[in-house]
Amino acid sequence: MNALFEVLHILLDLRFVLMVLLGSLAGLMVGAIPGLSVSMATALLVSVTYTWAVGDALAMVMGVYVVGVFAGAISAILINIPGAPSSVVTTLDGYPLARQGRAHEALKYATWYSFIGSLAGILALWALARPISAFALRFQPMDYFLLGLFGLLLVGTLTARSFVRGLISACLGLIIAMVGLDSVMGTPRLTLGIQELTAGFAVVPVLIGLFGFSEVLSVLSGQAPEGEMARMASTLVSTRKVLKHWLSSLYYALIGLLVGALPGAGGPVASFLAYGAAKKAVRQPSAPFGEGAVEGIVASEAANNAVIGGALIPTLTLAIPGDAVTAILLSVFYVHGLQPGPMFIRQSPQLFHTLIAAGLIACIFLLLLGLFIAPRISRLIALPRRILLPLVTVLCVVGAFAYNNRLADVLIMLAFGILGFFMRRGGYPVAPMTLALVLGGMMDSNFRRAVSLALPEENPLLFMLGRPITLVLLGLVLVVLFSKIAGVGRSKRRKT
Amino acid sequence: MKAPAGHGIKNRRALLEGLCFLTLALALLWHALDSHHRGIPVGWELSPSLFPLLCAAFLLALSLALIREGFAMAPGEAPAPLRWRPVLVTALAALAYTLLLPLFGFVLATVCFLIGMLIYLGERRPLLIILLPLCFSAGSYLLFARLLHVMLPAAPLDVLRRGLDLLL
Repeated sequence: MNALFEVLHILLDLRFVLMVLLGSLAGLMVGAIPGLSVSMATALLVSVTYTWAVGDALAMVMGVYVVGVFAGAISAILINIPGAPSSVVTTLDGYPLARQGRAHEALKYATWYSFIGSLAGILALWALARPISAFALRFQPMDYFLLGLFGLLLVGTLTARSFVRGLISACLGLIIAMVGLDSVMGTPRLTLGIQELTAGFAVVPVLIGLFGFSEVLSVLSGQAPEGEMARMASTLVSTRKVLKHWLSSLYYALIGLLVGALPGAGGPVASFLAYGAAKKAVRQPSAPFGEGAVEGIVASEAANNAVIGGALIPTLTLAIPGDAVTAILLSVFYVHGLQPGPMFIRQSPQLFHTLIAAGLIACIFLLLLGLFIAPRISRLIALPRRILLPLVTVLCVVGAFAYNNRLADVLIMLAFGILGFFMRRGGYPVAPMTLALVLGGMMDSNFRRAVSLALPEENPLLFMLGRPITLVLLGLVLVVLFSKIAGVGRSKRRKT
Repeated sequence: MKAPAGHGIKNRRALLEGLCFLTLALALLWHALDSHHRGIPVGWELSPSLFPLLCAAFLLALSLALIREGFAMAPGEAPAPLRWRPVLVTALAALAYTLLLPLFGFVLATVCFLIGMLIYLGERRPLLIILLPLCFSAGSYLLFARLLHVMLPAAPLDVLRRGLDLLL
């Protein structure tokens, strides 16, 4: 009951609501404009908000995150180019509907079901985070290492076409994370004698480079045409008719929640799974799937927005991020000297409630902005790339500089931008590298702690791996690893 | 990208990438072993080189898998044709912009960068080419330096910034 009052108290703080609104407006822009991403905006925000109070920073980041994920659907519906990867599925039915002159209706469906999905995700986070944290208190150092490894394997397999390339990206991220002073012994590691590398690579400039500048270079290197804008006819559809699918949307939200809670899976996977489920479950859609079925928009949007709450569960309770944005969100906690994990909710209940309140307010802004502003920003979405990309480059430079007021960080950002560009080009996803950068330090220290605790024992291997939780996690790691190796073998046999 | 018939190499790109990562893995392996023996005399369980060693072994296995792919699997879908020039120009322009920041200051350097990039990327409306960089630089200066208290680079040549300071 205390928690409820605390959240209500935060909800009534006008300054806090204003911060969420600012974040939501920023999220609406970055989500809707192809070429700008929520990850990029969050990484930029970390650099400018690290001197703020943590509550303000969280309010703004949550606004960007919740509304940004939804806003990807706006350009998906209007110009057939998803503003975010998780909105790819929305293009399948959203754009055909818009081409029929029903863009307004498609946006209304996307808004309402994004709202339901986000709300369900945040409420599930509120309800589940505490019991999961209590359970996570039983985790030992080896369990944390295995959990991190499981996350890296999953994100490596789900974000890349090639399993090997996904894992190489994660491995490179781990190596980069190790540069600097070793956290256990305090000695320099992998610095190659360069004094400036003793502090390691600052995560924020690296992330801005990997997500922001590399995106600019990727867009410039491609031949993709500018999207063709669908006509915004003002065909009205009643809210009662739109909300007819609320019950099924909870099922899709559950899919999103579960997928989001898996480290590394994220919105694109959730929306594809939910879309597949909708195709099976809905016998008589409003139009054939792929030709403007509103059920397709319902499934995709409810699922990809529920991922937000799902992804925050392992982030807050285990310090294992669920996707790229939560990996960046984790760095918000770190730059403010906070340590998410099993003790986080117990030690900082107010911050947890701040996050929940920010999520709930952002859901309301999602609904308001989606219903009243989204149909009116079509001109902004069509901003030509020749104008947009130089502006984004300036923001990347300012964001990297703002983190520490050092030009060296800007150079690091540019270097990682170029690295990210070549990685994308070569089929190496940047998401596993991001996750590895954030998890590297934790995995390293926990692995060494586990080994040093086990060595004096009579049977070190049994001591390290003999506990039920450890065995389950080890089993999960092996299942992911061997299922992919078997899959690679099968695809090789097919190709040769 | 296809190798001559009978050569045995089916995917040259995978093979080259595999060899690059193999070199990196071997270098990391050597570095980890070397720094363990030269560093503080502790057992492997506490050694700062333990985790790099693990990563090197992992990368070694992955690079071998990539090399094997080069011999065993035909390349999949070819990547879309790449437009090198805009990538190179943008990267160099961003580097020049970064280096000019301490010399020109934020506002002037940003105006120069934006005007150059807009013209290069094909914008031809003179009013927009002049007004957008001016407004965007001044706006971002106000937002970041004034509201968010980011210490943007200042310089003797930063006349615009000083003008703004005087005005405000």
